[in-house]
Amino acid sequence: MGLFKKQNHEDERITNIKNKIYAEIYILVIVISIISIVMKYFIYDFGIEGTVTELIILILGTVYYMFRSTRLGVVSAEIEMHDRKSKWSQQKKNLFYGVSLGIGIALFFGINSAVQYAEGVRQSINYFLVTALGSLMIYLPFFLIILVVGNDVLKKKSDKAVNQMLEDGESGDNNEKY
Amino acid sequence: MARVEHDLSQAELADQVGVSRQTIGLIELGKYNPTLNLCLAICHSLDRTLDELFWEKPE
Repeated sequence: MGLFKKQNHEDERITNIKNKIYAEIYILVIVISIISIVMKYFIYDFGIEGTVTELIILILGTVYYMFRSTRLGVVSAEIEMHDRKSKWSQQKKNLFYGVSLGIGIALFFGINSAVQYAEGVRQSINYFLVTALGSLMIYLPFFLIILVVGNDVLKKKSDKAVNQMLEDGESGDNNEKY
Repeated sequence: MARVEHDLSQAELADQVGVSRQTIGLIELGKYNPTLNLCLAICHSLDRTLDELFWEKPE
């Protein structure tokens, strides 16, 4: 009768909708985790130890996405699509973000140090300069390595994965005419 | 191949239809099933019909 016969194809409309819902759930989890971190840290004063679970959720989720998107060649495709549309290449943007974050954090720590611990204008300036420069020396290379070098490494691995996928057939053309 | 007849590289066709070069490469290898919208965009770019580009006889 074929009543229990296995279907060859899944209903792709349903699969697509389910995938969309899973993507929304992931965003929901991220938003809830961030709200939880903010509330625990700033309102209930739990300290950083109290937010470890949420941080693990955020970090592992990001690491898993990076791993899978690199293995499946999505990173290369995303950068290609971005660079095609945007005036600034992804690499230039990463460089800009890295420098901005490094300077931003250095300024934040410098101002925080001057306001919280210094007495008088002269000491405030001294504390600001020492802390800001010290932070800049640590955080600027850190963000540059994470954002620029990290992204470059992921792109290279992703390119390799894509080339491997395309090499299996006869018509992969490595961006040349034929 | 229709793309080659139009003197287009994978990257150029990808640019015309708004996808990555890898996607075009995988479609040509039969490793990715494009949506009908993407099929139509490719057909319009290459001035071919769906039948000419994507029709396969049932096994």
